[in-house]
Amino acid sequence: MLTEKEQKHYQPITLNRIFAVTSLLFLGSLIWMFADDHERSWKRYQKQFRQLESKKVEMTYNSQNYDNWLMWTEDEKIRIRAEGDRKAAENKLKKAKDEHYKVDQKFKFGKAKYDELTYRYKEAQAGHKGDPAELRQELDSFTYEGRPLFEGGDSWKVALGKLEAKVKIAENELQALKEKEKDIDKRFEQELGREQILAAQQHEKLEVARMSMGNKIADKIRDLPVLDLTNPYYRVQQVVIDDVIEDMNFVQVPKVDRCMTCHQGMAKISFSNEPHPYKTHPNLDLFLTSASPHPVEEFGCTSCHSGRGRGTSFVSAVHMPSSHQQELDWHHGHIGPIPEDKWHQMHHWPRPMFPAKYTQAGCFKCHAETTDLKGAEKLNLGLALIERAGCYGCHTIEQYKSRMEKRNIGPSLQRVASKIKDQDWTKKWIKNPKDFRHNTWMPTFYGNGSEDPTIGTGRLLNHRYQDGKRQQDEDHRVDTEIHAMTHYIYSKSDVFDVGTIPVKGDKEIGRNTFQAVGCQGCHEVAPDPVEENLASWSPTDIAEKRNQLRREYGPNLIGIGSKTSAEWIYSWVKNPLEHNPNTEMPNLRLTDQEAANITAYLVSLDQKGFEQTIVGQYDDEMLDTIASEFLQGSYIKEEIAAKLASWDSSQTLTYAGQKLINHYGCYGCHEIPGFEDAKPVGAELTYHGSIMVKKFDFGLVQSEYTDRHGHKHQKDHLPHTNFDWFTQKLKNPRIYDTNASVDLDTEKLANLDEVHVINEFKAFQDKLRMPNFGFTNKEVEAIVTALMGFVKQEALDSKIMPRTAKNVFYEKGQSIVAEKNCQGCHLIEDQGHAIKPSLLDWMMEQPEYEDLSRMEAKADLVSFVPPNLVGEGQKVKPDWLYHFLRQPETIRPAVEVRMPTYNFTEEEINTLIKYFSYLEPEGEGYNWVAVDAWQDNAFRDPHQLSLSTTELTAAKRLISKDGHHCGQCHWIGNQEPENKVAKDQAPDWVLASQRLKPEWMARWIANAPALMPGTKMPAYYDTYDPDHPEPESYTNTTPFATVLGGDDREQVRAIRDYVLKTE
Amino acid sequence: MDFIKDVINRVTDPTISFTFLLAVFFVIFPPNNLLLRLNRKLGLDKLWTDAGAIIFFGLLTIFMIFGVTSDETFRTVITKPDNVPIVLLLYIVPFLLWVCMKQGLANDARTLNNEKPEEYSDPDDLDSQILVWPDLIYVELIALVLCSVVLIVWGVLLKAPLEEPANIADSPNPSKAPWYFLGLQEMLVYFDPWLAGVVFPTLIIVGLMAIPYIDLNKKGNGYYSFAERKAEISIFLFGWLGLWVYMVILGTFLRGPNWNFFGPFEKWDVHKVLVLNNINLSELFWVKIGNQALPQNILLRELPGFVVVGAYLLIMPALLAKTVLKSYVDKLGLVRYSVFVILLLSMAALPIKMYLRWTLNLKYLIAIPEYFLNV
Repeated sequence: MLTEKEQKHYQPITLNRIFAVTSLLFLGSLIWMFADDHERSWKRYQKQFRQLESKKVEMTYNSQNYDNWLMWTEDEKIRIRAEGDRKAAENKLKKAKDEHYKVDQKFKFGKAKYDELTYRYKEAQAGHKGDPAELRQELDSFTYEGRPLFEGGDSWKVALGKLEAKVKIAENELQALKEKEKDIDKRFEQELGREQILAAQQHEKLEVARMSMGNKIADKIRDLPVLDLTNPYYRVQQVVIDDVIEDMNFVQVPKVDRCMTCHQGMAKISFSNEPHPYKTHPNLDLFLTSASPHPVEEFGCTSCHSGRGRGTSFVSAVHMPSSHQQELDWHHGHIGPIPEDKWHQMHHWPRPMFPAKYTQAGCFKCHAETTDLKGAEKLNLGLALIERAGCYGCHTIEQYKSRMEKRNIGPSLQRVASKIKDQDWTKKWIKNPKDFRHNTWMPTFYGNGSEDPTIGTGRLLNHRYQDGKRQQDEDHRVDTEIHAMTHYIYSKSDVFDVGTIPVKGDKEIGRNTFQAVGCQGCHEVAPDPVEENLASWSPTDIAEKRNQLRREYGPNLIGIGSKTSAEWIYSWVKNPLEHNPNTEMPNLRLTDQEAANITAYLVSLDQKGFEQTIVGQYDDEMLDTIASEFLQGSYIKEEIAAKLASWDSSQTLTYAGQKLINHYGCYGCHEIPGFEDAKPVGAELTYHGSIMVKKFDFGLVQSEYTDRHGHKHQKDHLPHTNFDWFTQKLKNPRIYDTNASVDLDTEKLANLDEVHVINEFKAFQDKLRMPNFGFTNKEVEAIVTALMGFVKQEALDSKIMPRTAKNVFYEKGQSIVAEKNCQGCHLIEDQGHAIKPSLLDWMMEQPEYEDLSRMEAKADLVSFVPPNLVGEGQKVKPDWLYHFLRQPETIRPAVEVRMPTYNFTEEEINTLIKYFSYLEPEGEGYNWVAVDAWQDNAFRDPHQLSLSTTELTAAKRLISKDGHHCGQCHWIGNQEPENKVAKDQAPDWVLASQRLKPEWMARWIANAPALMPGTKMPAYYDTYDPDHPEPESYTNTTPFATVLGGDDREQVRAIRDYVLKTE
Repeated sequence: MDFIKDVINRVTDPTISFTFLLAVFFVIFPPNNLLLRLNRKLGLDKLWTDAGAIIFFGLLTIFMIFGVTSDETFRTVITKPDNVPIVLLLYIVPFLLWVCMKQGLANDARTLNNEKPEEYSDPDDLDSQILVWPDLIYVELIALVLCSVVLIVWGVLLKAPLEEPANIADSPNPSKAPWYFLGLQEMLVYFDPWLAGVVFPTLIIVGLMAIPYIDLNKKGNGYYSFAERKAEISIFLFGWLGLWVYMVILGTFLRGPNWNFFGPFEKWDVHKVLVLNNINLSELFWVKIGNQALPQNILLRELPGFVVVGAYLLIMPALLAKTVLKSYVDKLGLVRYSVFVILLLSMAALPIKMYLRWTLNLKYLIAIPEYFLNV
């Protein structure tokens, strides 16, 4: 047998040692685990923010002064407490309390015993346990503590009461002495002021150095691991928004945003100059604060910005860089004020944050119905560009569906043969429209990839092949395609008899008329291309850019004379609707002479021809190739050959032309016979921002960039984000069929000269076909912003603009205003007056202004531009507006620019009337009469007005030469104003009773500039306010103290009623 | 360098690597004396010496270092947090195998010298015992603490590899099962889900449970030995190493997007296209050989499949009982033999099916998708 020791396989002492070592390892790993868990990047940000905040608070008050006063206060208090009577009072109180306590306790204890005895006696009496007699005796003989007081005739309550009173007296005495301390506190507050004290208190919470010892310890302990579960200083800050849903495919969870854990200064205005993440939000009026329309508690952050709200680190919140340079910086950890984890895109989150430059995309999902969203100028521009370029012609976009159903963005080709007689012109135009008109909105379908000087990048690259033979075929093919399509549209074109021009026109007068009547609200005559016309992203620059778009609403008319005939132009400007009932071109009610003059002028604009474009001849072989490609889908080889053999070349051209138009989707923008019901050719864009990045085909496009050390790097792909894809697609729509390489620093093509089609196996029908619009970089950025905003609705109805009548008509009205290009001429919602520069040009050519500089002449511009429509809904009567929109009439006889006649539908007019009535003048809180209530208004019939004789006399006096001298500027019936200069004449009073609302008139007469800044009408009664009773202190501003008692209101009313009665 | 990588990419292809495995496995772990002699002749038992271990793990480590330093795909795959257990498995499984085999061979040598196995604390006393404390419990406690340390450190260093929210419209490519199920997932390449996902896993569990009842060899109880349990060890290890560990490694490192095979140094290209023109036995029989369309009648159509499967499961056991496994019938009795041979045939079905796929592009032996029955 073995001894016990030998029976053991292992030596216990060895095992003990191993156990000790492993246990220490275990302890070490546990500590490491806690430390690792405790250390988070957001805590570092919060610590730094605390220091920053502390410094800021420190700057708001004088800590030295505060400390001195605090010390003084404490010293004073100590001194007071040490005074003799204070000590005596304190002793007295203590004594009284001691006495009361002793007696009180005695009674309480005695009573408890007595009560218990009584209970037992009663129980015995009732026949339960115990002997009543015995207990009675015991009860009687019970010596109650404090009984002497009973026997003394004093009830114990009274005795206690007396003692209590004694305490009270002592307390009051002490309190009176303590009041002195309060005086010291008061003095302290007076000396320092409320704000200083608050700042100091805040500072004490932030700055450890200013804390008491106890607080210092607590400040450390509260953030220790594990202990920090109770009430830590550094903690995750979050908002939970129940009605904004995060769609996790199988489950929908409420949005939780923790962004403010690091972005602590977001809602604090004093941090606006700090670096991120402490920086204040740039627009607190609209966001975050409870007074704004989007308080952070209700909307969070990622509802708009996107990203992963639950993330508490830079990477896990899925921040996205705005440029490749920024991406490199982030990638190397140069992110903010704190060393951060190196950035990489967290691909596992499907909705990454919008890069800062695309932030406004977030507005769209809730404001999809708004055409013009205040504060989202870049988005507005993007939407305006989408609208102007007519993207919805080929790509279904739900928001633009109604627009699409109404009309095509390009001119109708139903009667093209009558408009453009020269088929060669059409062929060249199709091949390269920008060669004829540099800023046309017709996109380019063909191109060889040469550099475009205005945008500095290549256009349309997939017509270039490496193989010379193939390239030759391709060039030949392009010409043949153009022949086929031209043949189709001309062979299907209706004939329209344009007639003849009845009178001879004068070119120079025509030019003047063209400039004066308002054509340039929508058309330009701009022979030379301009470079990037959006200087910066400031709202003013964007507004100017949008005005540019409004001026380009109709085509630039350069070279129109070489495109069409004088007869066609004459008949078109006389009555566009007769040509095409769907056209947006309104009728300017030109006289025959005016129309002839304008025609003469436009025809003279013929110097511009095609300089570079040559369309070669087609041949039957290539045509057959094209036709057979389309036939292949339905027929076998032999049948195709037979078919082609049986057709003459005209038939083949028609067939190929039709198929090609179908392929390129020309009918998306143009009305073309035979394509009335064709479906849009492009991908639907309604929710394009929501499409998963991996569904985009990035092709074999490569990229390259230069790092900070100047080294070039190549990547075999583009960055995989939807905005990178959109950007390149918009710049070079067919790039994904090529071997292009994008320089990520400049976003241009790095290998422009070598770019060629690489996917040669793709059938013609499968190749990318989107044409190139030649967007500038800034335009692309704006459009991408809008595209990224096209997302599936995530928010619940509670977060969308409420569907009130006001909002609905507001949005619908905006849409009509955009569609009819009203802002080309008018100023609506502070946007528009696009015609201003060209009217100024026109003014400068008038004899009166010959000697003036542009700046000087500009002062008079207000007399010639179409009106600012601010407050229009409050100004004019709905009935009048209705008739005016149907059939415009002259209001200011001196002004040459005229309101054209539009082909408005009944619904459009009513929508516009409501739209204007809902547009309050900004910043004013007038109690206007609602449009619906107007029908019941007493002023509706001016004949009901009555003026007493006194009032009539007063009114006459007020308007006379000695009064406000109204006749100086205003037409009164047929009586011409004394001021004969046309530009200084004002509207006719006779129109007023039909046109203007009396409530508005009263205000206008009193203080016109308040309603419409810049008006020439002076302010006669500055302080007039009909909505509120006059305060006691009201002083009348009228200079005519004798008229109607010198009462502003009475005078205004008298003038108003007088005007209304003028016939 | 590229040449070496290319060669490795080629030989790791399952058709080659599995064939190689099949060829050498029964020499390395010989189930009978004939192969044992071959093993000894080739000196393969040197594998289980210290030198053998150093060479094996040295080569493995050199390979890993070579791969990680020279190839991005290799590095990405190896360092993926999900794959850490499999990298560990590459070392741990051979190591434990080496320990067992080394001790087994040592004991075998002792047995030849008429000595007791090493495990006997008193070689003279078969019933000798050692104490539970400290020899068992204390050591287990230490192991427990060490395991905890490893898990904590692992957990701190590598964050849980969470991915995006599950989305029907966007499944990850490749979609991989957790590593311990990759063997089953690999089987899905060759079998219908109901077989690979239901029947085989059940058979594996049942089979493992049945081992004590089928294995009547009492030798090797309480000590390591190879010579006394050649066939048992060989069969078990073939299932464990060849059909499970190998498949897990294959599934982890060598299966990329679309579950296509990618060599260790081959870029995981989502767009890689392979010919996968697989056909069913019925098509092979009726269309390719018989030159006619498939019969309408399902039973007739699948008749060749029924015949083959029937033969495999019914005639094969009888045939084996008469020939190769004759001794087993005697040893185990008819019932035990039947269970044993069915389990054995099920196990063998996987490599057989693999080869049928590789040689004949065979999809299913019996294919009745109308009733979701495919074999």
